[in-house]
Amino acid sequence: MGEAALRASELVEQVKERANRLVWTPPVHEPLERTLERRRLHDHPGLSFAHRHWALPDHSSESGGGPKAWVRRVVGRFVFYALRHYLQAERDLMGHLVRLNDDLAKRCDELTEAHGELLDELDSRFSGAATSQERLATMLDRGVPRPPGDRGA
Amino acid sequence: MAPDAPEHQPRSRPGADGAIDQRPRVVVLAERWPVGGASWVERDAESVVTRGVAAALTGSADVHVITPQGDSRTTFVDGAFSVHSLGNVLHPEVALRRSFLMEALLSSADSAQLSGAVSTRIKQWLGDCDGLWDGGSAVMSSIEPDLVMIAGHLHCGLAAIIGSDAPFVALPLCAEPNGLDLSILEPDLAAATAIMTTSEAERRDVASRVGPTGPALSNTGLLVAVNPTARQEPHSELPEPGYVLVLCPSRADDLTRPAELARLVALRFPGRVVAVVHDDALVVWRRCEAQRLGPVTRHMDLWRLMAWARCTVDLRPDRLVALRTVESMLLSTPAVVPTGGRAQRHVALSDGGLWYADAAQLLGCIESLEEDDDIGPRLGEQGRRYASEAYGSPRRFVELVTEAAGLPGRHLAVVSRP
Repeated sequence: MGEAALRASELVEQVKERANRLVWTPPVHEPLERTLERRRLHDHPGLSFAHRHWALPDHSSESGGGPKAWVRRVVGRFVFYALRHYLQAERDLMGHLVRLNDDLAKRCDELTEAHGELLDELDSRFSGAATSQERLATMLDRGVPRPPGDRGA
Repeated sequence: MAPDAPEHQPRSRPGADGAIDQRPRVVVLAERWPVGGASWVERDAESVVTRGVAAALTGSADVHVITPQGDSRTTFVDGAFSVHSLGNVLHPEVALRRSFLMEALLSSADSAQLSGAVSTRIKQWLGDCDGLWDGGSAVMSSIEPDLVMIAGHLHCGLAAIIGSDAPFVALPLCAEPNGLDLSILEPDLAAATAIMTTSEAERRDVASRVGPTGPALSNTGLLVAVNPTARQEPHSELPEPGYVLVLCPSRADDLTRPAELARLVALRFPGRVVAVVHDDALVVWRRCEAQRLGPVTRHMDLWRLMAWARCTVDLRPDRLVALRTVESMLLSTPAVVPTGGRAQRHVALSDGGLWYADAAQLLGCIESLEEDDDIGPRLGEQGRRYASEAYGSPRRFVELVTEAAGLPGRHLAVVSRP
């Protein structure tokens, strides 16, 4: 048993009914959702702390008199002398990490800014398209040509 | 055979080496003759129909084409045809004057019944094209045709090449509803021995003009070829199926009504890819943003675009056959066309698509196909069945044309004199 034929004329009648009720208003466009944090990452307090404290001490800062202080100074000098290569490497690593974080924060801020601009542009484009659509549709529906010099949206 | 259509009996005539050529000779008089061209845009419906009908006769006859076009008087072989170019180019001013005149006449309903006096005056205005067929009578005499076919009905100066009482078969290429344009210039269809049309709609339009007592009138259909492999591979720029294809006969930057309608469709359906085929570019709209690509010149590319589309919106189909609409239907893609033309009659007759009268209805038609995924394929299949039957069968087309022309069905190519 074959499928019943689809009558194009019936579909066109339905289209006509709907078209008669159509009102040419611009489609409503809600601004796109901004989910990203807009605060600049470069201003993050953690980054400021890292900038201030990335350089750890590389020598003993023990001071004072007395045998105990003398012993702490000697031990301290010995320990810092023994670990000097490790501490220097760690200092370099920390420096690089802080610089890397700095660049990442800067890049993040730029991307966030570009994303925001893109969202703004999309909002503007959709709003413009909605307005154009209404203008075009009204013009075409009434058979009115564009005014001279109007190149459209 | 069509009722009352006379059968043209070929005359035996000696060939070059004493053989008797028994194939009838047919002369086709055509103001324009398409001799190729890379772009499908350059192939207008009149040229395609003329060449198609002439090609259908080549199986039964030697077909000679006489055309005024060309830079010089020459004869060349174009496939199965011998083309005799007269080199009488219609002056552009005359062509323009003729176009204006025709538009002016057709824009008035009263022009449907032009009196003979008015027709004479019009011919005087177009007097500059009297020399268009100069040299044609000599060619005609050398060919000694068994059958003359006149393609088109807007000729002038045909008397220079064919006598007023000479029999001919007319291929009127009538593009106007109710045959509005048929009585303006030459030939006089009432004097034809048979008339051929390429669609049922055209047949009715011509019939309304020539009346029931006129010459035998046959609808031969046409052979509209599409490459079925277009369905196997999408267009390289649009790999995703289900887009809306809009055929827009204007340049991408123009502010014509079709171009504005195409923009409206693109803006109305931001979530859907809309591909607009302009004369000079393929513009693909995604999310209200237009990407301009190179023009679609190859026929295969156009067929691929049609085959993978959800629907084909033909904003301004040609008035004679609506070739692009038929091609879309042959590729099972429903067509959305303006109301009131041949394209709408195809679509309505086949239930192979929808039609619209204004911008709101155009959007409504596309929305209907968007809302229900079932409607498009069903309309597409119905359209394919109709188009395949009327425009997809070479054998049927050839039979109908030879029958309508009154040519015997079978011939020996060359028979030696006993």
